[in-house]
Amino acid sequence: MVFILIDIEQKISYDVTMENKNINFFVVIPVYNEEKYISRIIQDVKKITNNIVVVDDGSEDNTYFLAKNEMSDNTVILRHKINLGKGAALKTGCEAAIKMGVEAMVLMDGDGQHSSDDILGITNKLMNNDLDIVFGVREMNKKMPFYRLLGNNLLARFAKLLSGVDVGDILCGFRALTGEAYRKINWQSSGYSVETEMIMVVGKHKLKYGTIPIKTIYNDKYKGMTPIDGIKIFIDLIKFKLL
Amino acid sequence: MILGVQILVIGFCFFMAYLSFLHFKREEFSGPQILFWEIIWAGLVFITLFPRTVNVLIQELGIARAMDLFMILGFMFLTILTFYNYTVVNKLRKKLEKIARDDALKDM
Repeated sequence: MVFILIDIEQKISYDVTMENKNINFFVVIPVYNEEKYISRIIQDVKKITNNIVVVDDGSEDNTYFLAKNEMSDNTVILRHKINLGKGAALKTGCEAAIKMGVEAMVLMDGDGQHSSDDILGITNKLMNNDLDIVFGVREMNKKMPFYRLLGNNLLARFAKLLSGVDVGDILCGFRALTGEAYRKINWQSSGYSVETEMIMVVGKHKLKYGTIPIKTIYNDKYKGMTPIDGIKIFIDLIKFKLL
Repeated sequence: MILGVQILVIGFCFFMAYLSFLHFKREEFSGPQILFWEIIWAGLVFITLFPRTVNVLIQELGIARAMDLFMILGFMFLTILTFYNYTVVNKLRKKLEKIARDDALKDM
């Protein structure tokens, strides 16, 4: 009975925190040449929280200036002078968030593929279930380009075999993790392999993980990962297993 | 009598020796570096002109022809070079990433 009461109390305290949006988390958005979507993404996220770190990864278009226009309290815009890759941009964003003393971070793609409506869901799942990391899982339907569907499926099975982590969608960039989990994962990948490296390290360190279904918007089917990136990720999975 | 393939290799060595010298004159190679590369190219010219000098080595290693030895050494050299380049690029990538990140976070 005592245990049940404690559990209820804890849950209530979390729920209240979430309702007030007071949980100490930052949304980290890496962007590269995303002038079409960046303003909308920041505005959408601001409806949920002002705690945003945008990392412009050496864009050649107006992404950085458009992001700057959306600046407000607690919104940080950082810029890499040169393009380093998604993994490196995420790391810069997370380092900034850690410097600001956050408990958790939500990682979101900068191409408008993820909906800000899922932010509270993923942070809720992370905190209420006392997890280290939560992976967003996209709906695998006809909207997803065929080669991505096939590649994602094969890579997810292979990753499960090597790491024991059953995520179902290893390439989805929408994730939430605690500051402690970030330090433990400490990814080295600077490019798209960052997502797979995270999964392999989660398996290696036996971190507590969960998944949550999320909405996916496909704005541009030619942007993002190519089949060559898929092959590289396949090789990386083996590399991460061996290291 | 000098074979066509020998002329080709000697020509290649002279070209590479000149290229190495050019890098030295542009101060991209240090004294020991130019010395190392010129010795390599001179050695290759010598072996090309007098292939029988490696006969002892060929017999010792159980290789049939001098050409086979050069092929094996060539592949070994390329593998070492590829590995070396990989480690150097990796180191540079990490340094570059650190510089860019520190620069992005400098005002925080």
